[in-house]
Amino acid sequence: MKPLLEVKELSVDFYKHGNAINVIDKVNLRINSGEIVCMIGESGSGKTITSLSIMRLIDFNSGKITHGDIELSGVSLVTLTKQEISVLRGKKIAMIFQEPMSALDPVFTIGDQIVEVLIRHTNLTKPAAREQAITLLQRVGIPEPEVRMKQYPYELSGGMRQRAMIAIALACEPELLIADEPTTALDVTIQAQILNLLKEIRDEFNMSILFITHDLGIAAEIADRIVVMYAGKVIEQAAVHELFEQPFHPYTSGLLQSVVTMDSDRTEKLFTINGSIPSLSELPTGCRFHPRCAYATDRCRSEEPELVSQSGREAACWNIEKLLHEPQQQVEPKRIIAADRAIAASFEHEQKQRLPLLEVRAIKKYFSIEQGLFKQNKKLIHAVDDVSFQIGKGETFGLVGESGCGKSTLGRVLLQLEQATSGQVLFEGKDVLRAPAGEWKSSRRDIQFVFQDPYGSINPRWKVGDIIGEPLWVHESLKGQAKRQKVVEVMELVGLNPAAYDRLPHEFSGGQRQRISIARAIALKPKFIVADEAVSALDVSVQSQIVNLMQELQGQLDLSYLFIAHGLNIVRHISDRIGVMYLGKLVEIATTDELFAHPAHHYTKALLAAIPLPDPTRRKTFLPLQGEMPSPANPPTGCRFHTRCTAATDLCKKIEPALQRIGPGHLAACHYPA
Amino acid sequence: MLSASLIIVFIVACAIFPEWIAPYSPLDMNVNHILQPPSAAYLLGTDQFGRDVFTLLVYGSRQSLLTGIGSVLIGGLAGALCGLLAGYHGRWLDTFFMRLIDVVMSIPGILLALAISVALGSGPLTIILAISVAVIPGYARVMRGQVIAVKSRQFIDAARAIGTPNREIMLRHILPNCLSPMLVMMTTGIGFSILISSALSFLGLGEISEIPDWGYLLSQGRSYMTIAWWIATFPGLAITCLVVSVNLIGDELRNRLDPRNS
Repeated sequence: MKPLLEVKELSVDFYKHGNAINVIDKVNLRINSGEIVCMIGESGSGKTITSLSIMRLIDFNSGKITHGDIELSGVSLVTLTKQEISVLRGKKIAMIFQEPMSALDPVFTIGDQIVEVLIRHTNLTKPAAREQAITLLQRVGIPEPEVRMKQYPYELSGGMRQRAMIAIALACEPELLIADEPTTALDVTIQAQILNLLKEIRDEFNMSILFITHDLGIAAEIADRIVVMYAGKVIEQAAVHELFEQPFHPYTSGLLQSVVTMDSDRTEKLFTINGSIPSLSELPTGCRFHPRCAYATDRCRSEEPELVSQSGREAACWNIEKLLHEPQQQVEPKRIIAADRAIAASFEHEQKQRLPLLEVRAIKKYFSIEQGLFKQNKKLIHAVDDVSFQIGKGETFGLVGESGCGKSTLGRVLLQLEQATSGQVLFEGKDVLRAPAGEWKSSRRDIQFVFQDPYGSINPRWKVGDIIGEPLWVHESLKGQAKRQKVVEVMELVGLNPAAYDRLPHEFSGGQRQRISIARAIALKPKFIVADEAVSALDVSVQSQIVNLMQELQGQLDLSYLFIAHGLNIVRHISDRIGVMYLGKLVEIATTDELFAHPAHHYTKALLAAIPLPDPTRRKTFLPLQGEMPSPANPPTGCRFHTRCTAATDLCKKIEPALQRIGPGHLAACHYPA
Repeated sequence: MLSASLIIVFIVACAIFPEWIAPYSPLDMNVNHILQPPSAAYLLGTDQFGRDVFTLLVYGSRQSLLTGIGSVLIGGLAGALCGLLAGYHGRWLDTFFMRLIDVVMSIPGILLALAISVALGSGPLTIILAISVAVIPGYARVMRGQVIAVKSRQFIDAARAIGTPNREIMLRHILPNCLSPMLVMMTTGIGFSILISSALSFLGLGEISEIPDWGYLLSQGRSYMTIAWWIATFPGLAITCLVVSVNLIGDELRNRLDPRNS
């Protein structure tokens, strides 16, 4: 069968200041009709460039196709003029992006944007196009489509916006849909809904989908075939089951092992691939992966392997045989729940005995928003509503929940970046929120933090040494040589080369920047660190490196962590106990293994079920959670989860359940705990 | 870049040692040679009094450079300070500064300058001060906007959570990240200041000395444009050269300040 899309030896160069940089090199790709192909790889591997090239949108990004061909049902797209290709865009190929807010035009209504596409590519009249648009919105699962037609993108939630984007993409029933990380900006439960929608659409319209993602779990969930990219080249290509069963390329194998599964041994260190992806302007000779590869030989260092076919799949590696014959280290999943319960019980006993390091007591944080011309409507956003928990010395407490649940606000309150509306935060028995004016500075000494964004959380104009040394300078007035000496010490501790002291942050990769942030956090030898999504922005292989580092430091410096994240697998690996938040409330607290084995709150259950598993043989057959989180400005009465809960009764609508003990060290706020 | 620096060096040299560069004295009025077109003897021609235009340009450079750079520096610094404080502190201080600036903006620049020179008495310094006050609002607004944008970036939170005092956050974190647009504005502002100063001289404000500055030369030459194009054209070219050179140097400075390019 002739494939719908065939990309043959495609090379693209970027031009910057007159210099050409090769960004993708001889990429081959085939997509059959009705097939979902996942393209995976870390950031900088050329996935997005490839997709933009297929749309020929690369022309607008100072890129140029220098070699090869792209054929869509036998028609070469490379030689088309700009007018000819723009007729195909939207009609034959459509695209959806990661950030639906920036992909939708903010000054037009959703309806106008769909109607525009319909009128451009079909000969529908305006009223007919409007009808069609409503049908489309309904098809992608947007409730009350007539109302939504008149709304602007900012009035819709992230999930709804992505649905609207999909509706626009579907408008002319294209043959190929390119989805570039369409769920990365969404929460897991919404992600599951969107993935499900895409699968349905594929079946209904027999559409092909090129799905770009960095998440192997998603790939396992949705793909028929997987293409792995690394540093601008395709290095492996296989059907999804084959790839997950036996990768042929060491990089793929490394990626698969880097995935933190839900039944991994938490006492083990996470698997990591050494180093990070090379910059395209400084590519290594020979195989581009060889500096990070455990199998690399002299041949890999000098000769570049071609993509070769082998039993219906392709890989570009000199050492496929070696990799295949190496005995696979099968990690036996250790499931010791009974023993775990005993530990939890003794833990609970211990908790009562000693003073917690940090105690959060009934913290509330309300934001007021004013609406109307004369600010007459004052509304309160209940961002954090009556949350209490304790963190012991040396413990890691994970805090999870969907975006908007208040977990980051809570973290900001602990760091005193936001003033709590009411409640107390006791650190070693002292209330830090009401510290006397003189202790304003010292109260910030023992609680340090690592933020999510490795690019935004560092002043780009400061030298690395000054960034790490800022707390030393602020709290101990260290300058010059004395500061340098201390900074070099912590740099070595986090695995940074001390020679980097005088360099500027832009020279470092995301993972290294996160090491800089961690070095800065531990410079004062604090007792407690708040890590707000500290690894969420990093690539899988780098993520593991940072998690391992944080655990090592915990042992060496006797640190306690509050680990805020939405990625449950990482939280599971690092945390001793986990708290689950929903709409400003803490709905469940339990020891990690207990929580994953016996989630009591229905929200926790849904959250766990929504995580895509990196195993194509265990695909989800049901949707874990319908609908979206209500607005925190107007939370539902009673149990805040009752609007989405399958077990909800009248009692849940009226009376709010309190956080109660349901087992050793296990608390849940539910009338009907599972 | 090299030619820009050479031009600046030459103009500065003119301002400091005019007598070494100019072929004549600016006070020489050669009544036999009024309105002469450019020639070997009078490189850029002569004006309606028979003065050598080139000589006048050389001597006028001092006053022009002083007003241009002086007013931009004073106005820019004052505006940047207002913007920094208003943008960083927010709340009532922001309202206070911004309304004050609205008031200043609502008065036409010339009128404001007029009032200031009446209050201070005429003189070269008055012109500089008058222009400075007139340009403050622009700088303050741009700075405020920039500060608000930088303030919301996460490294500011990071500094705050560490306990870095406000003054240090403002000076060490926010200010360096706000300089680029200020630099661009200030380099283009120099030409604007020179032109305003000519308008003020034209109105009889400031000091009318025997040595006219570039702006005044330009406005005087305008009336002879049809019969002696060179009187207005060359001062205009001189201002353009200065502005373009300062801009080029400003661009280079901004690039050097950008951490990505060092």
